Amino acid sequence: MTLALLRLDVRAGLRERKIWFAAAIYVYTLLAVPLLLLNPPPHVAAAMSAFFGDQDPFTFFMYVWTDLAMNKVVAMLGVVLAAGVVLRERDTRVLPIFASKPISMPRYFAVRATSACLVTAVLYITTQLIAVPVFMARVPGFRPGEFLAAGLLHVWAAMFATALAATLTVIVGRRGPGLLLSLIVIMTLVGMAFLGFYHPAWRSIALLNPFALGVEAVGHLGALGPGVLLPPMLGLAAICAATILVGAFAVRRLEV
Amino acid sequence: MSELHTYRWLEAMHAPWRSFQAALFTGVGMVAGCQWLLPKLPAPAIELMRVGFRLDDMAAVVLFNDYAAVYFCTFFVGLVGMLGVVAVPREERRLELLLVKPVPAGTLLAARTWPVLAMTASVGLGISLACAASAWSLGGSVAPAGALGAGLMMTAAVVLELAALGVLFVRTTDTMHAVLIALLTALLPLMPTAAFLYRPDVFVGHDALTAALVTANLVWYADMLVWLGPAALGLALVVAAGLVRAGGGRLARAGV
Repeated sequence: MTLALLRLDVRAGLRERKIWFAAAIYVYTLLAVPLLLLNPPPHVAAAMSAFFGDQDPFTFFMYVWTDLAMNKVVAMLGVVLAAGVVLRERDTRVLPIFASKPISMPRYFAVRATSACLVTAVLYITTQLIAVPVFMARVPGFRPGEFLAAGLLHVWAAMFATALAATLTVIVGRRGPGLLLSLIVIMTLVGMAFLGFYHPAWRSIALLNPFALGVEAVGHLGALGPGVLLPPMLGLAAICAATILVGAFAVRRLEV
Repeated sequence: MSELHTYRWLEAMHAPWRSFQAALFTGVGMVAGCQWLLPKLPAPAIELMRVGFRLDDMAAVVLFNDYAAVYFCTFFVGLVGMLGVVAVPREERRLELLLVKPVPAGTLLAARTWPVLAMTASVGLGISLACAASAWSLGGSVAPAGALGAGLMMTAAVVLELAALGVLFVRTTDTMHAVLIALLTALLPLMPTAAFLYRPDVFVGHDALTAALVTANLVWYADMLVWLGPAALGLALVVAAGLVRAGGGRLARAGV
């Protein structure tokens, strides 16, 4: 039954008006990012070789795509899709209806948060698939295999942003302050995603930030394989699950 | 008249003060964090910002990042406050309870909006003072008064954006949709700055446009911002007054 509810909730989530806006944002990034890459100035080239150890234009492309575009978009959409899960139902007085159904509140929260994560993933992966032909035509030296592989890791960071927004909001227990906390925490973590590349001595500490795990592929584009991708991917999956679990515990405190 | 006075006072008491306090402390913490973190980063990361945004020294790089903290902290908390004016009560179906009181719709909107805008401006002022203190202790190319003016310029932009969004939020039924539109509104003015880092060639020959659109202007024109920043905040509050009136008219026409 839980799975059926999850499927229905994902389908309903994908039909919300917000999704059209989200899709429009993704299309915009898809069209705008190639324009930023046409003529990189010397200071950018110098920084790229210092951060990633090469002057490959594709590394530059992946850095701009992941840091400037996708990281910001997934942080924003994660909050918009998930901050207020369960609390919105409580505040609009429909939670008693759900509470009278044969599903516990922690499980209901887990379904709603997971569904928001899946909606995030669907949007992200669809964008990646549409991006491949667009970038092949517009970005010189574009490598679709590595682009998709890096995306398969980064989509877990997107799901983490969504799960974290859902959990932080129920921990706070009120929608406004919960939204504020989610925005500040997620934007700050996203802003520090590449810290380990900027400051190699801090790499091990920087990797405690889940968003840093999500961008690991950008630093190893030449050597992508299961050895590089799987550990951070599994780590992020575990962190996502743990985050939703914490939220499910917190939701028990809510009065219906 | 005195009853309306009491009403306005009561509304002001019910603004989300705790969130504003939290945002102020977070913003000041971020300014302190920038001052601690950035000088520790290796040269290439600093040089990317210093050369890319034509900044003179480390102090300018730190302050350039501080101004982003002013912008986002004040925007996020102001956004949460603005949602509470009409959008959240409408979503929670208690707007009719507010509107059946013997208070005209425009007065209600103004009484609930002004505490939010005033607190937003105060949070911006508080974080700007932290920027000034940071400029003073760094002792670099930017004078403390210039840093304060720059922070107030950012605050003015936030007040203006929030007041304009307030007019839009009058008829919002889905608050998260409103959050998405608001976040896009916040990011839009920063896009030329991102483009400037990666494509400075596009800006060549457009000096006036560069000076107006790239937020490094807050450092470039620090001397002018000593008076322009406070003046802009004053002007923003005057324009906001017009927007609050427009929003009140819109609420009166829209009803519940």
